[in-house]
Formats: sequence, C-alpha cells, structure tokens
Amino acid sequence: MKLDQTLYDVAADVFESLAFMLLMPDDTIDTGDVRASAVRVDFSGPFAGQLFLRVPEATLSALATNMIGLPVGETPSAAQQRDALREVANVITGNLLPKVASREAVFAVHAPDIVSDGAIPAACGAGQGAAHAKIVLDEGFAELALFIPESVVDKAAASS
Amino acid sequence: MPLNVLIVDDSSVMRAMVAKTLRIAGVDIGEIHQAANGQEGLDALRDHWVDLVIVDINMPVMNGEEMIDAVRKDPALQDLPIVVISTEGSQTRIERMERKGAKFVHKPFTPEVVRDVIADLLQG
Repeated sequence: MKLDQTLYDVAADVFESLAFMLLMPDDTIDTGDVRASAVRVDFSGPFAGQLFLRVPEATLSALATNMIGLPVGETPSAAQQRDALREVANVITGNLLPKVASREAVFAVHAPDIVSDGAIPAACGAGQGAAHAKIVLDEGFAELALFIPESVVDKAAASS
Repeated sequence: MPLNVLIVDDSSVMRAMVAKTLRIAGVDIGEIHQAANGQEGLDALRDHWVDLVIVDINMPVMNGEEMIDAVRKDPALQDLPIVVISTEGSQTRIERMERKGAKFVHKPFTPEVVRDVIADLLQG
C-alpha cells in the first residue's frame, strides 16, 4: 500500500539521518514480546490524525546516545531517552504530512506524548484509516502507525 | 571571531544535537546558551550577548515565530541573525519566516547544510 511505503520511507530517512541508525533487511524480527516505549503525536489541519512510534528499550537507549552524541560508556538518562523518542516522532510527523497532504497545507503538530503502556493501538477513532511500517535497524527496530481519515488513505492509494 | 549562539528548542536532546552539529560543521563557537521556549529565549537575549539565534518553531509558552516577531520589534535586537531549524513542512509558513529575515533549515539536517546557511546569513 502506497501510504505504508511513504511512512516507511520517511521514518527510515529520519532514523538514518537524525539518529545515525542503519537500516537492516531482516523482515522476520519479532516485534511483539519486548519491553518497549511508545509515543503519540496528534496533528490537526486539513485533516486530523495521530502518529504512533514504538521502539524497544535497547533501541531507545541507542537512539538517545546517537542523537546527543554521548561519549562511549555514558548512558542517556530516562528523561533524555523519552525526549529523543518524542523528537524523532515529531520529525517523522513533520516530514510525513507534506507528503500525505501537500507542501502548501498548514498543520498544527502537537507536542508528542509518551504512551503509558508502550503499545500502539489497533485503531484510533471512528472512520480512521491506517498505515503501518516496521523498520529494522542495526540497533533493533521501530514500529509506526499513522491514523488519518479513510478518505485521505483512499486518495493516497488512488494516486499510486 | 567566535560566535555566541543561542539555541531555542523545547527538546533538550535537539538542543544538544544542534550544538554538536555546529561543532562538527566547524563553526567557530564562543558561548552556547540554551532556552526551552521563545520566552526563555528572549530572557536569554537580555542577559547575554548573542551573535546568532537558532530557533525551533513549535514550542510551548512562546513559539519560535512569536519570538522572532518580538526580536524584530526590539531596536537592540532587530538585526540579530536568526536560523529557524524546524520540521515545519508548510511552504506557506516557511516563506513567512523568511520574510521576517530568518533563514530556514529543515529537520533532519546535516552539518554541511547548517554550516552553509550560517555562512550565507552572516555574510549577508
């Protein structure tokens, strides 16, 4: 599905360029039964929706370490890790929306919120379509879900 | 001559990234001051001599655009070089920032882009 690919491409670019993480080809990685942290980004504008990002704890620590540029042997604090996760989600959302809508569209991207149970919901609101992506990284993986109106999902599919 | 830089972003991780990027880019840095929102940024400008402001747009309390408007209205600060580093994807909003005299760098960014934008801004 085209929107899945767009979500994957944008997120992959952000993980590579912002967090200096390499993409790996392994598609068989088990993402279910691991301790993970998740963040939610709400946005509004021409349409409203949510982006969810979930990463396992080990990946999150590496993410924060890479972004901050911590010396070898130094571990990022829990606050730094949460901040890194929020910021990556924020950058993915900001780069994704012009590709889903248009470059002229003006969105309000709200401050990312940590999801208390570390999970991505199966659905988010009535009438919402979804796109999903799983990115396998040298330091683990990242899972994403984008919830936006079905009409926007259908339009994206039709334009492929 | 070393530049005193003010970095304004509500993410402490992003502020650290920007500082790291400036060093990697070879920008001659003096003091680095940090602020978590536009109001703290204005307070920092009153307390410290700053040669360059690097600011995000979407922040609580006072956003980057509001901070830029306040800076441009202050006779003591109005010509301060400003670089906006943001995820902002709306061309409409980007052009609005540029009309306020700010340069724009999109997140994610590379050290080379940041270096070139700063060089261009300071020469102009």
